Amino acid sequence: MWRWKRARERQEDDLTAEIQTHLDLEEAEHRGNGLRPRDARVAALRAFGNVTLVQEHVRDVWGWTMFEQLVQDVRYAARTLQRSPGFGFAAVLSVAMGIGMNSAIFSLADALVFRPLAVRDPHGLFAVRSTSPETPFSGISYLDFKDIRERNHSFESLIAHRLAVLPFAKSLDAVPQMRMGMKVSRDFFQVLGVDPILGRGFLPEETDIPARGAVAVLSFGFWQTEFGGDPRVVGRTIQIGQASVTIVGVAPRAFTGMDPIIQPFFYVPATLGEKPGQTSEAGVAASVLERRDDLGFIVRARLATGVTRAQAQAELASVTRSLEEQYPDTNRRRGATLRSERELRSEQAPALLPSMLLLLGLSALVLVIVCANVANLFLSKARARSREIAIRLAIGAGQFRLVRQLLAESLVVAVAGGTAGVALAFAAVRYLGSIRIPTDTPMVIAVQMDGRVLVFSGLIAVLSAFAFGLAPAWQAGRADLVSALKRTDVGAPRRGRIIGRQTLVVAQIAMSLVLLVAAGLMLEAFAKMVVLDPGFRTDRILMMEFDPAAIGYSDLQTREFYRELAARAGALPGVQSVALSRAIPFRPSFTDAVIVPEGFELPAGQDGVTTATNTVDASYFVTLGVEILRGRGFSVEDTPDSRRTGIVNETFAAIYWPGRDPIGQRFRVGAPGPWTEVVGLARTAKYFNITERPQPHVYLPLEQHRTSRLTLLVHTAGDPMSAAGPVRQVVRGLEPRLPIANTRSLRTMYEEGVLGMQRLILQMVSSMGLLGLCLALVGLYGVVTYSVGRRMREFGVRMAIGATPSDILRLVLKEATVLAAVGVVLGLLLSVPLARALSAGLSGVGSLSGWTLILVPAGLIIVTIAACVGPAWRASQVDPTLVLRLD
Amino acid sequence: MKSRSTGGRVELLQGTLDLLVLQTLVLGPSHGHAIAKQIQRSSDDVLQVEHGSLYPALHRLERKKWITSAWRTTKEHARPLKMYSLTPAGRKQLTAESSRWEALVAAMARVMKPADG
Repeated sequence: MWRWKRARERQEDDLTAEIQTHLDLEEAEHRGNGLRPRDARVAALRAFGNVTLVQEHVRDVWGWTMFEQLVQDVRYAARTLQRSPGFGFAAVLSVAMGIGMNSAIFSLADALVFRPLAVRDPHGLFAVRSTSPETPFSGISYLDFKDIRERNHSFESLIAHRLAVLPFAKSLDAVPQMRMGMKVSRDFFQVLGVDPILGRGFLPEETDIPARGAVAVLSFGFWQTEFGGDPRVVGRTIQIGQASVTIVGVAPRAFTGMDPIIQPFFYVPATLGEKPGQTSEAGVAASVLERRDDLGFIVRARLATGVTRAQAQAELASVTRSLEEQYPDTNRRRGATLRSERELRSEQAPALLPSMLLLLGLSALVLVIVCANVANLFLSKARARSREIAIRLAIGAGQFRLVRQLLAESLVVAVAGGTAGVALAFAAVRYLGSIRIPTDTPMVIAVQMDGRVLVFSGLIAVLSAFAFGLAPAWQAGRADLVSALKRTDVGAPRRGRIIGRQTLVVAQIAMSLVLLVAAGLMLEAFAKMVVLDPGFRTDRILMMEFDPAAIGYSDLQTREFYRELAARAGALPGVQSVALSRAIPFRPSFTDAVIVPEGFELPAGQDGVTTATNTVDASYFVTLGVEILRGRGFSVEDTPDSRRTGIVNETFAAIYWPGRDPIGQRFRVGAPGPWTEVVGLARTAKYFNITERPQPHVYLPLEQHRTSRLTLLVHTAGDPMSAAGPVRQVVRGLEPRLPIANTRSLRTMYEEGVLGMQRLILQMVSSMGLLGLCLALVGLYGVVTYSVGRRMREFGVRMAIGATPSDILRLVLKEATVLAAVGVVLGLLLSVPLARALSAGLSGVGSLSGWTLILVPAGLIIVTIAACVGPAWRASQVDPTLVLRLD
Repeated sequence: MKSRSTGGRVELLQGTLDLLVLQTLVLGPSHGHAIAKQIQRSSDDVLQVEHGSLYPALHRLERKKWITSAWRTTKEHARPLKMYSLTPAGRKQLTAESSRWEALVAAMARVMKPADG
């Protein structure tokens, strides 16, 4: 801008000098012809003509630069808006709400779905997923990963990582806490292009040789919260797992892990704490790094230069085929496939993208209502200004310039509204960011107002400026000069204008109805959800999670620990029963096992059916109130040496053994596994999601399927949290070093974790609906008030020839009702596809029900009529003599 | 038409000034005052150019890139003058314009004096 201004000044100086030179030369010439100095100057000026006019003409030739005109337009627009602050405030406020809502929702969707990983060339990074007929997509075993890395030529680099909850303590003598970390393979940071801001990443020998692997890189957030951002943290020794580990680096702030939601606290080499070469009692390798059946690693890859995705996929297929031949036990029918980051995310959380798109779509509707509203405001102002505009046209303003002038006004409103909207969104984002999923897992909805959100806000601000500015500007540009100038007052409205504003109001009502129907559907779904029976007891249950193997317990020690823990906790006063379970409902910690039900004909090419399983002890069913319908629960009979037993739920029995008594049926766990006999039938509960359809589920006895990481469930007589202290005492008494994780009441976990997200979405959709409705009502009120004001004379005449005030009232209300009814009908038509999309996209949302279909439209019509009662009343109170005398 | 006769002098038709300026600059670079004088002189003072009207024309031609300008000192004058000179594009434009002008003049002549035709 300054450069432009200096250029313009130089141009002016240049012209002045040029004209001065001309006059001097002419003057000199006249003097040479013998004129006196004064006469010579006058003669020169006469020959030249009007200097100022010439300068003006030259400036015209230069032309106004676009920028200069824009500045002029914006200045003028700002002045116009200042002159009508009420209008300006209403317009800016509506835009602020619309843009604020959209920006907040976009930032949420961006955090959950769209934002790419904070790594170098995120779109060039692919995920390699393992596939089999039973489980279409899963992680990859570390051994397979290493084989693929060595045998392929299509990838420039491959890395593997997995999340792991590990005991962590800042010093070696402190009691460790369970913390989420990430185990990574060789070259993790190098391949991702993430440069630690302090220290370094891992050296190849650190990630490959277990003895050298006692190093860690902290995440930026953990460095800040746990270490106070200490710049000398590199080189410090901390405790992770059972090892004393040296901090070698701190990751940059932007890099928060390989997942949009879960942000690990630290990164350690995959080899940390692994004991290669050892086998467990069952004879399998103890280390996950040596088990080809442990599909826990996520593999990422960058293609080599010049290699296409299809070529890489083809080579991947041939590598996995050779692995299949080499290791038929674990790799039978196991392939691998490439996935882009976006594909990976939708695989991992398939419901997320559609629900975010729905929220974005609904908030776009709010913005449309906002635009209609502001357009309406502008139109009513344009009416009042039609004379001003006509005069400006008459004295030669170009229509294009005039339209641009009015657009500048909308732009000023949009920019002011957009700025305020971003501030609103900022507040909303702080609220969204404060939502914590109640687990010790660092799950963060990393909503933030970053550049991406700001660009989005700016874009929609400009878009909406055009949306609500074009119609009024176009109408003004078409203004009928003569009639506008001839009228003394603003005169009777042209039919077209009123129809235009009515259309806007109808559209607003229709869209508010759509939003309210959406909110109604969500509310219904939520109400249903609240009363839904999860199928297990949620009240008076305390949960606590342990993993003794993480501090070096052997299988035997672990078993002893849990036996003692259950016995001592169960003996505490106020405790009714205690149970141990590997997983608890609604936390995705069930193991998907391949189950082979006897006598069930499997689909071709499939070795078994993937089913969620849980490993529980004998008192699990009693403690959580899961009813055993037939047969028995687990008991002391089920020992490692007795025959293998299992309990299936009704749904499992109905699918695989329809019409047969499930008790006594058999199934295998894993294709080559031993036969397991069904001893009990459990009532089907909810396992992943409160709104899920009945899912097949298999329970296995803890005694026969030992595992180190278990959750203790304590059923108390009173407040479950009051038992937390005593139970902790028991644990400390048994093992002071053992970290305790996820201490909370099952009720809290259930309400916040299961209902919380749904409640949040419900809140969002209903606030959108209410906002839309308020805006539509303001618009309707404006239109009715405006048209009543215009028609006072008509009403006066009507009353003079015999209409009663109630006739007038009815007339006005009837017209408003027609508008509302048309809007409602349109809105209902639009709601049908919306409801379909909602029930398809969000679990638990049903189809349109009578309640929503009757209550929402009826309520909307009543509210709209109520909004018009005021102006209608004023119309009915008109004094005919007064109104008629006015002209 | 905006053409009037005042005491034997003729005011310029709109648009013809550009042509005259280009024609004048064929002879070489020149400054505003000299161009005005040159037009008057070569038309034997029949064409009356209000000196001021020359400048919008010069700036217009410069904007169309038919002429360029620069402040230069010359032998005749002590002070620097803003000298205009023809660009190749301007030369091309002059050729095109003058043939159009000639065609117009011939046509006008035929219309005004049909007997001579």
